[in-house]
Amino acid sequence: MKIHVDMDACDGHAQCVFAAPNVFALDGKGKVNYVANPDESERERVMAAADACPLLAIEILE
Amino acid sequence: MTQTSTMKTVDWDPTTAPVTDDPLGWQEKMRDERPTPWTDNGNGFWSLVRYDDIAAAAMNAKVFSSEITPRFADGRVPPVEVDRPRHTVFRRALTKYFKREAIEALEPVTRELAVKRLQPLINAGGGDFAADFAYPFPAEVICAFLGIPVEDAVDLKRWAGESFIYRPDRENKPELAQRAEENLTRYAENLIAERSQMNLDPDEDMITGLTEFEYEGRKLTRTEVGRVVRLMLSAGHNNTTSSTGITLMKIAENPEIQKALRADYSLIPNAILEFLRHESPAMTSRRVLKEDIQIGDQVLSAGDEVMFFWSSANRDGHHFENVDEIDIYRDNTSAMTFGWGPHRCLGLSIALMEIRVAVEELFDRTKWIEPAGVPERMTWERLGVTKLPLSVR
Repeated sequence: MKIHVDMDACDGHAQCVFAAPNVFALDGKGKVNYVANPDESERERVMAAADACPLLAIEILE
Repeated sequence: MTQTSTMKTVDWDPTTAPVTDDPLGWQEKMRDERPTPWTDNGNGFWSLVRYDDIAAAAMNAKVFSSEITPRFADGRVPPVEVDRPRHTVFRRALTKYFKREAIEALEPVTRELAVKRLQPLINAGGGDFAADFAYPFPAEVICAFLGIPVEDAVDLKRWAGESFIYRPDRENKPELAQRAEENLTRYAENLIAERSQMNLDPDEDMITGLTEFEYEGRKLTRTEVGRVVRLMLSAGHNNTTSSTGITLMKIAENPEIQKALRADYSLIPNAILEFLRHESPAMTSRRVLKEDIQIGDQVLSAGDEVMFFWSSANRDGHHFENVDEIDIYRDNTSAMTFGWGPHRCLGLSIALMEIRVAVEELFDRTKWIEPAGVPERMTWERLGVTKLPLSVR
């Protein structure tokens, strides 16, 4: 699968980090780092992460 | 071998004494002894009190649904009482009004409103910072946010307070709550009607934006927009009043912390998060189970209601070190003060901005604040301070 995070919108609420810890991590500067092409097995967790983002900054591209 | 149980035995009633005499103490007791306590209050509900249980449940919105039995007969309040995919539609409509730039734009007027309320208290050498500051101030900020007259905050505040049925100081008064609810709904509807005549920019004005919002070819209904706006009229200040009171109380009660914050304002935002972790005003959120689920040795059945105790998660010693200590340097990224998962508070950045501005303005205008009497506390449905006598110099 393929995802994109709008880093302008990201405010470091970290809900994605807790929802899908293999895909998202805090960068220590109030934003997240993420895997742009997570394994298909992460889909359910990434969807929960996208859903939990208060800024709706996570887009699932495919 | 562990036995599983589907039995509902009454373990506590978080809505009445003795639990309301010491809610955090009881939550601790439940965390240790009975992690899924049941109460018969109302329709009856389970409570989740451990951090890990709540974290898992709050992210599992498929099983822990927000589509609870609405409190009032005329239906759900979006976005808080709806699930995905409908929930996401409301979030899409609303999120842009809560972005960083929008909150920065609100800061100057917030500062003016804070000073207007603080100055008389400072001039008098102190007073009741709960009744005369924490109570009126957040509603006035929400008026500014929504572009409505600041004077209307008085009515909104009263109705929002009355719409909570279970306040211990007025016992169970459903008629009063119903009337307050009708007033809030009418206010929201009038506001929407007014705005629809004004040709405002939907990117600037949230109410216009909601009315015009379209997703996959469908607009929100007038009723839906009405309920969202009605929600803002209370959700926008109830918890912030409690949060402001708790923050000022903790600063006054902890001289070392006050000293550190006055010396370095950049510590204020994290200190506020820590005060609100320590005593989390929005104690609970309600869900309903779509499927049976087992937590520990207890089976919770489909259709049962479940209350998440955020305030309890935030004091769970299995998750936070030195959990009962106020440590303003603590990393509070995982605190559940504003909820967790898709229904986490949309307005949290506005709330935190308001409280920070209030503390900064108070510090700018005083050398010291300290307690001048015993605070009066609210312990259900929120944790809060209803009377906060402070002296200032």
